[in-house]
Amino acid sequence: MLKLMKYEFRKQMFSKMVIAIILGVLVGYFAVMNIMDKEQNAAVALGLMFFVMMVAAFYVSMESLVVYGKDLKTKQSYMLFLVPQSSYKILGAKMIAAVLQIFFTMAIYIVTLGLCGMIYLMKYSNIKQMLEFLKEIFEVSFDMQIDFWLVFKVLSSMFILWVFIVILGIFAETLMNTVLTRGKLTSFLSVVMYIFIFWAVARVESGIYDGMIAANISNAVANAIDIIYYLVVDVALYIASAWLIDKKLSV
Amino acid sequence: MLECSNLKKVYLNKTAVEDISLTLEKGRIYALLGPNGSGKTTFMKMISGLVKPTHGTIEYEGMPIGVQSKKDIAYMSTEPFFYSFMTVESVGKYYKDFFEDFDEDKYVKLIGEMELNMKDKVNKLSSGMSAKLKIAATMARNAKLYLLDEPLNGIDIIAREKIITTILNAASDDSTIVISTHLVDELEAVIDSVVFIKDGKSVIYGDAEQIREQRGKSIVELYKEIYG
Repeated sequence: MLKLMKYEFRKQMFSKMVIAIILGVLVGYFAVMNIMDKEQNAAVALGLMFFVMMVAAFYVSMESLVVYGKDLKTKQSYMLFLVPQSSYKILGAKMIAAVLQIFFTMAIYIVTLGLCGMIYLMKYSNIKQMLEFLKEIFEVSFDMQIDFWLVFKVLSSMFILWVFIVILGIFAETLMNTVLTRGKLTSFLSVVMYIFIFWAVARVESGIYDGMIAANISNAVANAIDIIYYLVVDVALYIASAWLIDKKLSV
Repeated sequence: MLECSNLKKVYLNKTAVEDISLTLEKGRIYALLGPNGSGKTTFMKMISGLVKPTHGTIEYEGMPIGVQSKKDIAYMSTEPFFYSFMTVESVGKYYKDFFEDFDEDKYVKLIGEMELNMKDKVNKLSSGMSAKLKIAATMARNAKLYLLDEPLNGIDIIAREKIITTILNAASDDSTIVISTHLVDELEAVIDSVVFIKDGKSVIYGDAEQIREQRGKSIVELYKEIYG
C-alpha cells in the first residue's frame, strides 16, 4: 500500500512544489517589506498569502479528483489496475494519499505563517504585539474579530469538510464510471448526485448537532461526535467505492 | 491453465465480445486473430482483469480473475499506458515495486537491446520507441501467461525480428503466450495454436498444425478467407 501511495504522491508532487514556491516568494516579499518598515505592503503580502492559500486549497482538492478521473478513463488506468493489489488497497492508498496531501498543503501553510511570525518576532521581539498585528490584519482585511480558539475549530472543521469533499468526489467519479454507464447525461447525473449526497449528509449532521445541543451536550463533545460522524461517512463512501471498482469497473 | 466459458461483454448498445469459450494450455503460443474491432482486445482485457465480463466466467488455475491471477498474468496493451512523469528507468522501478516476477537484469538487457535510454522520459518517446518499452517491461516479467496485444504495431521491420525473438525467448513449458495480431504472416511460423475471432465470437479455434492439415490451407490463407 505504501508503494501505491508513493506513486500517488509522485503524480501530484508538482503542484505542491508550485504552491510552496509561490508562498515562499510572498514570504520573501513580506520579510523585505518588514525590514523596510513598509507595514502596509507587508499586510498586502499577507493578504495575498491567504488568497493563494484559499485558491490552492481548492486546487489541491480538485487535482486529486482530476488524477482519479484520469486513472479511470485514460490508458494510464492500466498502470493502476494491472497491479496485483485489491481494489480496497488501491483506493485506500489513493484516499490516504489525498488526505495526506491536504495535510501536506496545510503543513506548507503552517510553515509559511510560522516564517511570517518569525520575521515579525525578529523585528519586534514580542509575541503579544505579533498577535495584535494579526488581529489588526484580520480586522482591516476581512472586517472580523479574531478568536484563536475559534480559528482552531474552523481549521479542523475545514479539514474534515475538505476530506469529505474529496472522498465524496471519488465516490461520485467511481459511480459515474461503473453503475452509470457512460452516456450523454452521465456527468450531469453525477454532479446532481454529488450535490444531493453532500446536502443529505450535511442535513443529517446538522440534525444530530442540533439534537446534541438541545440535549445540553457540551460543545466540545458535540464537535467530537461531529468529526466521528464525518469519519463514518468517509469510511462508508470508501467501502462503497472500492466495492464498485472490484465488481463493476471496466477500464 | 485458463478456461473461459460463454464470455460476453456489452458496452451500452455495442457488443464487443458475443460468445467466447476456450481453454488455454500451459507452454503454448496462441495467435489471437481478427481485424480491428473483432473483440480481441476486450477479450484480453477481460482475462487480465481490466474489464468485467457482462456474462460468462473466466478461471485461471481454477480461481476467478483477481489479485492472484494478476501476479501471474502479464498484459501488454496496444496503446502506451505509462505515467507521463516516468522515465524508462522508473518504469522498471514501478514494475519491480509491484510484480514479484519482474527481473530487473532482464529489463536492463532488453532496454539495451531495444536501444532505449534509461534516462529518457516516456512522454518524449516516439511511438516505435514506446512500443519497444512496453515489450521490454512486459517481457522482463517471468509471467506464467503473457497477453500481448498487437506487439508488432508501430515497430519497424528491422526491429520486428528482435521483438519476435524476445517473445520466443520467454516461451517455456511453464509459460503461455497469447499474441493478438493482424500481421499473421510474421507469426505463422512460431505459433502453436490459433483463435480466429469474428464479430466477438471465436469462429475457429485449435492446434495450428491440425487446422492447416484439416483445411489444407495456411493460417494466412484462412485469415484472408474468413475476413476477406
